[in-house]
Amino acid sequence: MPLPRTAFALLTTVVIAGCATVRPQEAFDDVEAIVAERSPYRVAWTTDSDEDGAADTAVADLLADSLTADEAVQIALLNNRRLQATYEDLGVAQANLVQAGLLSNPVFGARALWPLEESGPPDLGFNVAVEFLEVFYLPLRKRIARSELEAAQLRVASAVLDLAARTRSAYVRAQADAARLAMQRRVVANAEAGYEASRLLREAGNVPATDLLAEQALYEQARLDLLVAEGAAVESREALVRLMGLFGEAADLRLASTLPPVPETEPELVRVVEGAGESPNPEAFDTAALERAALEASLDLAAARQDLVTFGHRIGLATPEALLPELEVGGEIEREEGEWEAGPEVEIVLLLFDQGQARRAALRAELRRRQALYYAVGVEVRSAARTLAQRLATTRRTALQYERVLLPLRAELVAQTLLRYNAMQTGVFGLLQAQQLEIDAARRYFDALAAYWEARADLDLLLQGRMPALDGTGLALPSGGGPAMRDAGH
Amino acid sequence: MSSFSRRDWMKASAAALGGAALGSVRRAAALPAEWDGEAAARALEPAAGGAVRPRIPDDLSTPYVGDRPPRVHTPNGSSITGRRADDGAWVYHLVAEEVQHEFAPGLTATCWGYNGQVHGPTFEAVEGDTVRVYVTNRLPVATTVHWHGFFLPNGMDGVGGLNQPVIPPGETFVYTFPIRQNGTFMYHSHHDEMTQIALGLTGMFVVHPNTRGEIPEVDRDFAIMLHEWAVDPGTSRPDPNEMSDFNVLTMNARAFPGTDPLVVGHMDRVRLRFGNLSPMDHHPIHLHGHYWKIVGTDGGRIPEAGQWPETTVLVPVGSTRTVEFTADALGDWAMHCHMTHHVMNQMGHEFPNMVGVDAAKLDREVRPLVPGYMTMGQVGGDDMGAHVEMGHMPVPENSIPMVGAAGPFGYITMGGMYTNMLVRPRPVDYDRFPGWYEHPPGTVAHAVSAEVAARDGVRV
Repeated sequence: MPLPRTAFALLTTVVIAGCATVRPQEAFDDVEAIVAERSPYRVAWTTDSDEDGAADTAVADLLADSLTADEAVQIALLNNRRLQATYEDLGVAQANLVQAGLLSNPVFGARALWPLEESGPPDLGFNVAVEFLEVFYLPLRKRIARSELEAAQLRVASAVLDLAARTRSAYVRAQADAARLAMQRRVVANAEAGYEASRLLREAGNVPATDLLAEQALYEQARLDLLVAEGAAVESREALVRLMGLFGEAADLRLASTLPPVPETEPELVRVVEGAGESPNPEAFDTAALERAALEASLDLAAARQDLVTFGHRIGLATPEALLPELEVGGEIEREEGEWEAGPEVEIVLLLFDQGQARRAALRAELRRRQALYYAVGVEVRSAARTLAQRLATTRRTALQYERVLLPLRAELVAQTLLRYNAMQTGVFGLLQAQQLEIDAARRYFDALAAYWEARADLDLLLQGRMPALDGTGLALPSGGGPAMRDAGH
Repeated sequence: MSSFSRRDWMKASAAALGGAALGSVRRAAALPAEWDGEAAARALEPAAGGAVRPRIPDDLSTPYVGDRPPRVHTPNGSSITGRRADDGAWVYHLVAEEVQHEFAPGLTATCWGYNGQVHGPTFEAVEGDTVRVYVTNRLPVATTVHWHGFFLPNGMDGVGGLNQPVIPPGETFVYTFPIRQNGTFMYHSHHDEMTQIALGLTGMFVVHPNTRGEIPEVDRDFAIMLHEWAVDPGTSRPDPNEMSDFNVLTMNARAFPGTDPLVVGHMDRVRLRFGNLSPMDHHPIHLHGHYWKIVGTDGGRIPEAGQWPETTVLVPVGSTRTVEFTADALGDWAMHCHMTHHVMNQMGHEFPNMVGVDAAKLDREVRPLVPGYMTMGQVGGDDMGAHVEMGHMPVPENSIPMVGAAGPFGYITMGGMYTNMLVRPRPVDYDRFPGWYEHPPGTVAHAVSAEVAARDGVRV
């Protein structure tokens, strides 16, 4: 049975299309573009190509001297194998797209009929069975596969941005722990001086044993705290090294010396109005603009949208975009009422028994579910924008207050205490105590800086289109104890 | 020889900045961490030809107000001798007001005084006078004046609420009473005494006898009011709430080295009238090189048979003690309260006992943490004043070293209730600083060699 001409023509085009090869690198280019548009980082997919060598060289170069946060992030993006593994999603999705464009292979059939009555040549019959109805499905199938490829690209880009943000936070934590460790070393030196002073006084016969024991206890406690601080510093460095995908000698990082102070100005969207003493309130920034920017950038939202649109295509909607709930005004979800036709198959299937009503109900439920999820992501992105802006304002103000007010105050107090010491109004212990308070303020300053930079990394991530975990520490309130203090009764 | 030349540990190397860098933290200005102990020691020793400049004003005369010349000298203060009114009464005017008062160079405080000074001027009257004292109150609070030791009409005794209504701020009251006694008395606020006396509202009141010869004539008659204050270093107002930890001890409201010396001629008859209105402490005043007889109290003159010799007179709170003696020994003689903490300035009683502590070790430990730190007190407090004075040990604003002033042989480690009596050959200008005493050869203690000591069988 000869093929209809039209079908034949179709077939040839499909077969030619089927020769399409799988080129995932093109899909990766799109990912690169998404990342480049949102962040300053380069990404490289180290398939077995020359680029591998280039990436390794870049990592080695970056590791050559002390490491900034940006450099640490760049190394993680080039070197983290989990991220590389994620890139393979693109390969799979790209292959699926090619697959979607291929017709099923034709089935060749032959038959020979021998007459039973009389001898003679058999009646030979040949047929090529092609599932030619596929021809009608092809465009739809390809659209779906393309959507899925796009979704995979979004997922991969998301993974890139997530890793960048996590690496930045890990870097900040490692720096903060290094700073806390340095402060704790000063606390130990201070406590050691107090202990030594007390020992010398005791040797001279001037203080009772209790004074010496109290100073010794302070000193030993400070050394214990140092042990904890050392452990924390090692662990937070290790977390950073892990994200950067390093081990062996390369893992011996040298971080830039200290946490940078808060910058003079914030990015346009989160300009905080500086007002001494008042608590920072989110109204100080243009929250509407900030939320809009976060929504526009949100890859999660884009993914939810993509999902909804893909689904719309799958159920044969001509303009599935109409399904998207209006997020900008935060209004009601527009429901698209009416029935959908289940694709071209209605023209084929004889709707005798199953008229598709059950399947349509299921599809409608699926659709509503996707709409609700899309809407929910929008709400969460908005809330995250407000939360992080608030957090940035609070941590910024705190760090500035330490930097501009409290630390100079404490330093001045030490200087004035030294004058009182010179006037023999207070002794060496009073001096050490004033200095201990200064060190403690410095430690809190570094805590505040770390909280600021973490908030900053989270907000950057949100504006790059990813939802950060909002369980960030923000600022811990000082615990009840505070540093152990000498009693003033010396 | 000054004790500093032994202080080799003072050759402090510049202290390294301590601790981890604090990033962008601004430290207070660094303190000078380096100085030359040798040079400091040399600066204090009387160099050949280079006399040490004493911190003593050249002019020691007492200003006074009134129609009669004063007969009493109030070092660092003045007399008020009254004006004769038409009805024959002697009129005085006291103005109670806030006064910026200097206890010693470098230590000034906002006190309460009379007629612009702390303490008030020394009244001089004569037995038989009728006095009218106008008292104008320019304080922010009510006050009164009590005439301590006088026998007068009950309504003139000055106890607020008991004998009279208090004098409100801005008002003037008048006290009128006849004087029927002679001797050394005082006057002071008798309203909220704890505050008003602590801030300085006191003065001496001397009454001369009206019959010559009743008491011996003297060549030098001094009035000295003893007092104590609480002025924390870095503050500028005495704390009237202090009950025991007084840290500025004064003679006529001056703490050494702010006290003017008493200049007397050799063999002068000298009378010293001490009054004590310290809030909480009696003071045993000791004079070196002489003995005196205690000849009077605020109750009057002691009959000669009852006078006894002393080198120290205990002046209780709320009393006067008058002593007389002949200045028969040439030289520079110290006169001071013998309570050791009363010859310190702004002593800090929170300072730990550092005597005998190994300072070098402690310096090594603390100096990296606190640039400018120097262990003190490990041999007592004898060196502190010199450090402060020479500027390598900055102290809080408005505070002075606990002890010290340059003397002819180095640093005088005294402060507070301390002054010098300078006895010089007559004639002597009482109103000028005569220069330090020039000792006859061989009359000053000096170092000896082992050989010299051995001649006396002393092994060193």
